[in-house]
Amino acid sequence: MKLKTIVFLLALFAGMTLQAQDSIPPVKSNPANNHCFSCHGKRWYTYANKDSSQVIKHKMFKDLIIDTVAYYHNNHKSLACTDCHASDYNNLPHKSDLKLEPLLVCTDCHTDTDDVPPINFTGITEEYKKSVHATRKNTGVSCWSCHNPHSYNITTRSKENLNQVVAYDNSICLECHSGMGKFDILYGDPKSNLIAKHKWLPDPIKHFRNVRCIECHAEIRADVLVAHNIRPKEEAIHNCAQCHSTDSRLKYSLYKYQLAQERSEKGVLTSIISSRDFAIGTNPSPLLNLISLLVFACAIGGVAIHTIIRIMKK
Amino acid sequence: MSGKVYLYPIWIRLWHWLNALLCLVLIFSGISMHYASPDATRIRFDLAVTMHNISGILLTANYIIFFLGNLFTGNGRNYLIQFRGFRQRMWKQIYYYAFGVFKKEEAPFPIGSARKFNPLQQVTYAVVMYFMVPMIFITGWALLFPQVIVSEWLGINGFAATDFLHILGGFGVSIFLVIHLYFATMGKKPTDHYKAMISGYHDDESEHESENDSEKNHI
Repeated sequence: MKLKTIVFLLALFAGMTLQAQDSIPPVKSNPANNHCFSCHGKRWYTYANKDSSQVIKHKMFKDLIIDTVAYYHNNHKSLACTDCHASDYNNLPHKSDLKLEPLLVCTDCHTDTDDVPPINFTGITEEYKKSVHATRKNTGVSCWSCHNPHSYNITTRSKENLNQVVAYDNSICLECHSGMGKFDILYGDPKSNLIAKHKWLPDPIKHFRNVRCIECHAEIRADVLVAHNIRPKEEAIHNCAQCHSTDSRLKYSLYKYQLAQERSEKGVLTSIISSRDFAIGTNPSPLLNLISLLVFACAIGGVAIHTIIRIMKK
Repeated sequence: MSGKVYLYPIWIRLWHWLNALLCLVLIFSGISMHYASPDATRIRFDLAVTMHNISGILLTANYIIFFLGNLFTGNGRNYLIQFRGFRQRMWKQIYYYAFGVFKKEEAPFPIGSARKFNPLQQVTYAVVMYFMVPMIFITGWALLFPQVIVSEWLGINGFAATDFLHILGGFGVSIFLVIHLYFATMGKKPTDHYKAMISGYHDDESEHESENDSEKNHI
């Protein structure tokens, strides 16, 4: 009995260890950042007063703390802090006028590339400027509000798990648009106002898990990979068939990258059979529809002919 | 005038008509979803989904009644196919529907207390009720709880495959419905079978049966 318990615990431990190894890949840090992260990677930082040699300990302002693990797993992990921030920050204490340093925006570094389909940063900027985030006064929203440069991972160009893409992207919206933890929303707390507001959907939770907020709340532009023109709530899509139909909106938004990749790699038919995305009504086969209509017509025609002959022979 | 025989007890009639109603709702709401379009004037999508879900759940419950009823009453034996001589009996029935009925020939397998289904009905009902309908509600429940569906198998999208089987089954039932409604008019009078499924009583057509006695013993 004891042996069984030990074997079970060992197996459980081995499983947990393996899982942990799978889920958190090793961090490869950039030594150039160690100096910055020695203070900004911690909740408390210390420095020595040059005059008195006294060591002073201070609490780091929350917004200036960088999650170093998240940083070294984010899209900007290869960058040194001073690639974006002034090199004067290497000097301590930081000069106060460095606070006036203008912050970069995405398009200061990111330019349009030949990716298929293209991200189109110019288009994203134009669309963003039309969105409620930009046009409403005092929202305080900038690129960084949604795309934290120290932790952001672009998920849109992922062919793997679409649900992870959805969960990640929706969590960005929920950071501001939810009064509660994002997991509570994603996993269905009935007390959530957000769910109450979406109860017109046949199954709000299923939708939250399978499509992004922007599918209904943003205007799609054909040449922009991810819609950034967030519309006022009154303009949100309320027509199910906008997504659940052959010409689904999802094909131009959530599934756009996958479809473009898979169709170029496998061809249209194979991409439909093997694609990982699925929503009712989006992928009916025109050929099967035609065959089914012909079979149905044959059944009706057979019945009609039989009826006529029966009447004639009466 | 032949005598009446009590062929359809109340539970079968209630099951049958509820099944018919649910199938109609499922077919129309299913077609509406399948051909959904933002501009179309069919059943509103969310309404169609709700109708389809509720009807599907009720259809499953109704099927359980059917299954248990067949298991614990004598009704189940009507679906048991006797394979000896079955092909000949089926061809005889097909010949009757294709030619005999126009020549005013007697039905080769008249309905009576000993036989409720002709061989063609027997095989069709068995396939529909023990293969097609279970396939529809199993795939339907899977689509209702998509997390149980294997997302990919041998490079095939599990959701798309489940949906395909569901629609295939639904299409099969739609075809069955058309043919069933028509063949239900093939009694002595076109309305005989319909009336029988309401009252439970059917003309005992087997009273004058003579030449088919040998086949009857195989049913």
